[in-house]
Amino acid sequence: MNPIFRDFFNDIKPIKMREQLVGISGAFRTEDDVLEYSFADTVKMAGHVCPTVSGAYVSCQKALEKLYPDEIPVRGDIAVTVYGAPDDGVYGVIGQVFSFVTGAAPNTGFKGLGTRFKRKDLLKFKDERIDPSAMCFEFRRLDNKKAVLVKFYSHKIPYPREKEARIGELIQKVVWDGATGAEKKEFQELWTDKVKTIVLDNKDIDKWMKVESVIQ
Amino acid sequence: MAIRTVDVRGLEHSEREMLIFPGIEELKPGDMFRLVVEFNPIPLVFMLKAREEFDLKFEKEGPEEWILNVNRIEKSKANDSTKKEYLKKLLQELKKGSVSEKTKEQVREFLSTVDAKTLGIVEQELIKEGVSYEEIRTNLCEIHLDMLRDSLAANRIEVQSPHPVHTFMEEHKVILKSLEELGRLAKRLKKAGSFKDVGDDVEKLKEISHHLVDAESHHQREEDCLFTRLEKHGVVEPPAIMKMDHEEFRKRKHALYKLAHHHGDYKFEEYKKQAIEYGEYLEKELTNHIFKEDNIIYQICLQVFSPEEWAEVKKECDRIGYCCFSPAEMETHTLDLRAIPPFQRHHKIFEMWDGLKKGGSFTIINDHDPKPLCYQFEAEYKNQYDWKYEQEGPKDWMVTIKKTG
Ligand SMILES: [Fe+2]
Ligand SMILES: [Fe+2]
Repeated sequence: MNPIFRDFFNDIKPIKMREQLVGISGAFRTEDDVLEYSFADTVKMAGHVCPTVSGAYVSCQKALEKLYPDEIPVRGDIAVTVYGAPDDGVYGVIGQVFSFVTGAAPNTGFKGLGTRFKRKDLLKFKDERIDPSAMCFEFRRLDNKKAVLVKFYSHKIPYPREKEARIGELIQKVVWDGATGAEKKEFQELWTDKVKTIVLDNKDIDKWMKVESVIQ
Repeated sequence: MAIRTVDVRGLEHSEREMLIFPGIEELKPGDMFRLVVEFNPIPLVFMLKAREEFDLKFEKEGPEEWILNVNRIEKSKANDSTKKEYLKKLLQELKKGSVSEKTKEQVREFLSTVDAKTLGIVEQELIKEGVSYEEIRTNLCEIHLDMLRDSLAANRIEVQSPHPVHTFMEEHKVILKSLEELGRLAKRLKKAGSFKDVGDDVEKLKEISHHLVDAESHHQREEDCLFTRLEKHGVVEPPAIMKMDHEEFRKRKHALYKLAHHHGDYKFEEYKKQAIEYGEYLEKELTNHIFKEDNIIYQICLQVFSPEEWAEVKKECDRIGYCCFSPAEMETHTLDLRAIPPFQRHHKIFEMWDGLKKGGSFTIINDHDPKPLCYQFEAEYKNQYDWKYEQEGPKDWMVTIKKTG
């Protein structure tokens, strides 16, 4: 149980990853090399919680479930392509989440030990739109070359327009310290409500996320 | 006549400065300094022209390289140590805080005769005496900028909508209005003795501070799209000063916003004091800042950026988004689908749509009725768009799509 984060964080399913590199470098007590990457961990890495970080976490989770149906995914053995420029909108932040969970690093990443365990350049950004109304990400296993394409239709997440509008009204006040205690609370409730819809309830997920096998 | 050629192509900005400035300072009357660069060195030309000590001529003007010939004009030079003493006196006056026009004029005149080395030595001495580096920097730079402005005014370039500079300047007009209001409000506040005397101004201050905070995207676009590019062109100092200004404004805006929204937490005297302090600072300094941008920074940009760069600037600005008061025509684009291969049309339309902020619109031109597209908007963006036929056949169709939600 995490004493700092709010209760619902504990109900969000963590992503299990086999992390051989940490294992062989001697950090673990036993041979078991499975690590959990929880949503709380992701929020710690990102420094904030928001619909984007939540959407990225779910994208990752669903992609890995499809890529590794009966096994634990292997961290560092997955290449990820983000279809968008790293400095365009939220693609950069999304890439960070993918990197954190899957171990796929951009060109600043770990170069490897000899020719093994290379993480560098496993995360790539491609400035091209596959689907005009979705953000698209490809996850590819390096061992068997199987790949899935995640299509994330962020505007289709079911969330009442009045609430969305209210968030719009409150956000400047909150960010620039002009909100009253009640307004701050209201904002936080609305904000986490949306996050919960995405990352905990996966509400109507078929409408806003598609995970397709990539046929080559 | 001795000729010295310095080729700085491909060098880092600091390396360039190390080669160019000492080379030019050491130039003796009658000798020539030949500078080879890979882009038009406009800022340098202005800087040197303003000093009125050099004769400048282009030997070659692009497109791959620019060769500038610099000759020193003969001039009777005053004794170096007298200069030192004189400048020291002037800087000490600057140090006192309020800089009179007269002092400024004297420094300006003086800077055009003193060389960088002497200036450096005097600066060192002043720092030893307790003047901060930043103080000297700001005061001297201020005057350098003034000098630049004078020479830029002669070659002023004007632009029309939807050029990014046009947008920036239109936004300035709106910001200036808020600042004027803020100034007037501060004046009224000075006469007030209690919250009761202030009346509507409590709400008014909230509103003004909201507008000033909303203008942050303007400053962000300047920093990300203009200033970083200027630096790449070797124009480093002016955008660095502007960026420092932004930081100072941001601090005060934040404080003013907090104060305005939590006025109930303050005793009136404290509220009054802070509101006047931040209000007067912002009114004076931000107005000044805007003047410098309109007349110097944007002009330098217009003279050094290529058309391709302006296209990039526009794209990046669209990505960052505008203030709620940015000129409306900013968001009116036309997309001629007839010129785009069918398989790319969809992508282009939604790229345009995604880049639109609330209230913005674009017009598509097509060679058939784009009805199916209308259905897609209805399915995916219900209540968030407005569809208006401007022309319905028989040959071409024109539709304006507006983002309403
Ligand atoms: Fe600015
Ligand atoms: Fe500006």
